[in-house]
Amino acid sequence: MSEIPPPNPLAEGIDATRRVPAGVLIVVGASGDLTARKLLPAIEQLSRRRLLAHSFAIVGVARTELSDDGFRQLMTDAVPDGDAAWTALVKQSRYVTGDYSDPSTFTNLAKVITEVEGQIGATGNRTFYLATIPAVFEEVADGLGAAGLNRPPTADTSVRLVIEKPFGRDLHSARLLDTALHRTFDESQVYRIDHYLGKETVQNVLALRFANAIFEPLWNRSYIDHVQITVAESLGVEKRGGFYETAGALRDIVQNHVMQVLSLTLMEPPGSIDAQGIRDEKVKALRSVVIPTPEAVRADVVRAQYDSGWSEGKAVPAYREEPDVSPNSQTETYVAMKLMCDNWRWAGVPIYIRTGKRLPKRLTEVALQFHSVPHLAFGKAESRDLRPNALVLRIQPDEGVALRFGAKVPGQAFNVRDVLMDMSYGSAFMEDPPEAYERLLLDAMVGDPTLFIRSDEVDQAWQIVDPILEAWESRAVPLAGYAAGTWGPRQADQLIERDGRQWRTP
Amino acid sequence: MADPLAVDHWTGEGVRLSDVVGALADLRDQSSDHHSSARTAVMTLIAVAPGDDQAYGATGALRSLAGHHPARIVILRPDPDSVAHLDARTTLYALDSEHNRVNFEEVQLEIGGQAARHLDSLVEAFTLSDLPVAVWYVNSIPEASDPLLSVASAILIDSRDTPDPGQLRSLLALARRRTVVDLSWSRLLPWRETLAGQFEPVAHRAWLDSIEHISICGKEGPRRLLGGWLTAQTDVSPRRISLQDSRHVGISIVARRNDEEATFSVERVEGQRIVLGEATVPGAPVVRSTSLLPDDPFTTSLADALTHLQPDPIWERALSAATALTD
Repeated sequence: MSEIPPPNPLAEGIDATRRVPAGVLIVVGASGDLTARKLLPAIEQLSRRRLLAHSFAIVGVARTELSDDGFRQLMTDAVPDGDAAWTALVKQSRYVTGDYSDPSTFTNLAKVITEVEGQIGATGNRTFYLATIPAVFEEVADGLGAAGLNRPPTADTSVRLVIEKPFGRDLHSARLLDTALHRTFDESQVYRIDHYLGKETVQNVLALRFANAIFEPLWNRSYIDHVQITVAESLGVEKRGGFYETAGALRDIVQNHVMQVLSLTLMEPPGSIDAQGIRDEKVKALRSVVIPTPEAVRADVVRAQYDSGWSEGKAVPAYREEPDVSPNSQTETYVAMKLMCDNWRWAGVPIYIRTGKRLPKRLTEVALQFHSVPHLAFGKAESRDLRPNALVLRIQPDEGVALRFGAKVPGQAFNVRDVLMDMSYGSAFMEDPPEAYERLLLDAMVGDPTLFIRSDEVDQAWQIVDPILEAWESRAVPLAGYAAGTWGPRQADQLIERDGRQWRTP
Repeated sequence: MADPLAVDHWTGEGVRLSDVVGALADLRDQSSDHHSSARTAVMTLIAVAPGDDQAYGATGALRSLAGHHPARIVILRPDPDSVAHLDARTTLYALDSEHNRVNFEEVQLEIGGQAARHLDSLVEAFTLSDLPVAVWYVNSIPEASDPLLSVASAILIDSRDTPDPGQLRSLLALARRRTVVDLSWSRLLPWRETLAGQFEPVAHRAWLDSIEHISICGKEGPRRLLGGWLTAQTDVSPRRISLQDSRHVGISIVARRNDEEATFSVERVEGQRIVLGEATVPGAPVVRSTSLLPDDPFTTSLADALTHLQPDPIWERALSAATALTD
């Protein structure tokens, strides 16, 4: 049995719970765009905020031929205005060149990690960040396992593997990926990033719901008529046409981002705001979502693709005219759907979801539309501008919470109309929150998986989305069109209007 | 983020408290005319700053915190030895970011005569309901009988201003009854973190049982507080600790075991805002670390203190041990 090391008395009282312990971050795919654009700036910010241990180093791995100095230059180029602590971190960073299919890449990597740990005085905390294409996740995980890098060298250290979405292309491939990862890493070691969960305002959904007593009693079928989730992009596919052709809105947004927001909205209050408490409740919420049957997909899901149109004052091309997009593409750039949730809290409350590119504006919001008052005592003419109450959680941009309610219009008559009580987080706390990558990297390195997606969450999200993909592949659902710069196709309006409701105009 | 801008102000000499309250209400109404502005607050911040320099420094520091700790600021300038009077200035500030404008108010009161000994009776009119009240005693520590303590959720002091053992004992007595946050303790965090970081490797921790000597340099308050901290946390006898006067804080620990010596040091680089740590342990490479000091340590420590308005038992232990240290 290994001996428990004595505590560090000088660290007592210094808040180290959100501070990366002594260790090494190994970035696989270190010469790539994600590393330079997101990861290195995020690490520099953590260093600047003194959230990294003093014994901390980065080791890069990639196929690209680079020396240690070459990698250090890449780090400097990625953060040209880094401070002295960053410069010191760059100096002790190392790089390993190698093909992921070659076992010697990982034996070399193991040797370099051990050397670095000796130099900086770290004893084995290792975080492997796979900044690679998903196709090599399995190969890299196997290589790490074969070199013995999947297990911590001592009992008091940890090894973690961070991977980015997409986690599979469908339920089957997601399960294959999980099986492959679990050959070498335990589920507790795997940190699946959906950067959406790193956004402060997504986390604020939890704060709003579970730090306030006034909302939760209303957060159920007795008071809520329906829920609308909107994830809108004003941009088209830009330079990502090649990628988008293989993904589409359902895989790119609904399976991950929307399902995360949906589960946070529908979940029951957890016993504690920790990883297990939150993730258990999120999975329970997703399990309550009714899996669409083929008939339900035909009736309740709309897929569409943008045509040419006007967006933000500019004429923009149709999706099929975008670079790297097939002129006959059947890829959806818009999805609208109705889901139902079979549980005590939400039975009978429809959840309308829409997401798309080239919509009039960029925004993400969750709107809870309350029931109408049981009896409106005001005259029709006086209350014609009155709608049911709505609570809107704006996730981006202008993050905040808005409550729509009726108020008397000043004057002799008793006219009532809607007013919006609008709280913006930005006006309460003007400091910029940390970037999503900064937050998630820190969480991974301190071993807090709360904001990462567990295997069963991924699986459950795919179980909801998979029947839709299958129906689409059988061409059972026609691809509609919508003009760029509009809120989507007519069919999406019909989807909600046949229930006697309307899409919000956010 | 830009500095807050004064949108409007009101001044009055020889006024009654109700005049100030009324003027403040007018300014609040005015802020609601700015339709794009928001009003929000997370606390009331009161600074007790008798002198001009103290008041100037305190107002600048508190205003700069508005982005993270939106608050109503009340600056009190008591002068019990002068004739009874109340002079006041209320100012409406606007803080702009890319998307938002936030308004907040600042009240400055110059209080002469006996009322200066009963500041609690003045400030209650300005504290925001249901929010914590942080009272910052600029360059002083309050008497235990100070009535203003009754309105304070937390008291901010700077032990740098009260370095001798007698004053530290008074501070300790206060801390045992009220929530006291020491700005000096916050400012010393980079040194404490860096030193603690040197004992993160488990192999280094054993050297803490074999400390031969600890040398701490710096100004009187900080060096004494760090000495108290190390005494309390490592159980090293105060006789093994030496304190020296110096412009910058530095710590050096020498440990000896089986005729081998290990050294652990933390010092500020002259002319730079950097703290360097170095651990030299036999049979292992020298481990160096670099920590950046904040550009404005005073404001940073204030912001940190306002984030953690709660008792800190480690600081209290350090303070208690510091009272037994001699230079």
